[in-house]
Amino acid sequence: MPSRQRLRLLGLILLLCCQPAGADKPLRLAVAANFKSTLEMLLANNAPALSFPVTVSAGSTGALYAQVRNGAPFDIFLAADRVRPEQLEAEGRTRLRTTYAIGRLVFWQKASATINAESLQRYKGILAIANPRHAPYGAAAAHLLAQLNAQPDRVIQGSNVAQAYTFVDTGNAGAGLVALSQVIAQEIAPETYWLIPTAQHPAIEQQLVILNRADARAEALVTFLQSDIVRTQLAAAGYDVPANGGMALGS
Amino acid sequence: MDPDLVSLLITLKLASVTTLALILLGTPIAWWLAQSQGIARSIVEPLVALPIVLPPTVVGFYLLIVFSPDSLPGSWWESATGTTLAFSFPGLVIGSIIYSLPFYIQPLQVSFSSLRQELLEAAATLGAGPWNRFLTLVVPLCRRGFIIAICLSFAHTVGEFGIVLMIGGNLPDETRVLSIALFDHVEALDYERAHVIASGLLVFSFALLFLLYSLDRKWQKSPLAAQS
Repeated sequence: MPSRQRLRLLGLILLLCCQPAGADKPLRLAVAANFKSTLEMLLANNAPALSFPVTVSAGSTGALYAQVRNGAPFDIFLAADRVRPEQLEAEGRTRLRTTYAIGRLVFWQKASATINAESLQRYKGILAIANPRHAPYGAAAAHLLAQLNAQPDRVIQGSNVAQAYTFVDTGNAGAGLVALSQVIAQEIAPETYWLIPTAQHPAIEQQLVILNRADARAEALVTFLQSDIVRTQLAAAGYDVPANGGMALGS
Repeated sequence: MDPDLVSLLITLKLASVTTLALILLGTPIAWWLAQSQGIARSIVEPLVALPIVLPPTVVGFYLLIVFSPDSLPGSWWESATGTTLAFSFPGLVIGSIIYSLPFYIQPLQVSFSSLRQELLEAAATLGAGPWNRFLTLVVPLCRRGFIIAICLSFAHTVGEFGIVLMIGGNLPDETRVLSIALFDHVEALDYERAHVIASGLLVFSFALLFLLYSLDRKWQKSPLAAQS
């Protein structure tokens, strides 16, 4: 290729890369992997409600937290717990923190025909849970097991609730403590899972923060997430919703 | 005992058992690959190399399905041992053998291919049997290949993460290797302990490669290098 032509091509590529900053720039969301598909569903179902483009990056909450701390260009961080949002707030990196969804735990036994409160206490075999140390579904599961004094043969840990689900789904674990949103999304037969009453474990509060770098569209997105229509869809997807849309914390 | 110390011991045990299994299993495969030609070799060679290019999650995902008591191998193992292959040390060994297979076989195969056939033929004429020839000729002449293969598969198993994450189940006394413990610390924001493991792995890997390259330079100058 002659060098002038090559230069022209290079110029064109540069031009394409340097889109003007402003209205076309997407709002960047970092979301905990367990909420990614729900968030995408909410965005897709209610596309007209948002007048600006949005990108979604999923990852584990700990990894995303580390990325945010090290300057990742996210505007809103939707975590799987409240610990990491609180930490970012304490570090002065955020301007708003609020609960956007509350997860529900279910005891899922694939081979079961009827399931009830005693099934978990009686269960012997391999039980899959999420990691209690850093996954909120895991912490809730560990609390529940201790409270019920349930003693399965072995408790194995997935790094997150998705992996706990996979262990049961592939048959490697006979049962698991997984998310209601998962069994709903996968259309699992309701007689094979039991919804754990919320009083039996610490609330699985998923919080978001608006990061300092974000512009006003971030507030618009949070308002959208707390709108009645989204709250109805969240409930159908297997989440409890915070008591009212306006429970924003922080400045 | 400190849980991270337990993880260190599990990691060393896994790397040792895997390397030993690879010596027994991989050496004949490497020998066969170095000697044979034709269609079988052209299929086995890329198969052996697959773990280099495949994401560990692919291997881990398939292993999870094969290990399941719903599958034939999984149910066979369960009826023989009473436990599942997933979430167990033997399961990790199987995963690690697959994961490190190319790192053992490839250096050894190169080494075997450069072996001068006349030497083996001469030894055979002098009445040395196949085992005798292998132990007294092949092993010393290809020691460079053996050492590289052993060191690489050991180090590569120590560095394994994706497959263990998929099939390990994070059992503190059985399957929580160092890389998983590190991941847990990072996820739990315990960066202090994460630093201890991460820097330890970094220093170990550098030291091993440093040693390997120095040895290699030494051998290249030695008179045996022409044959190995």
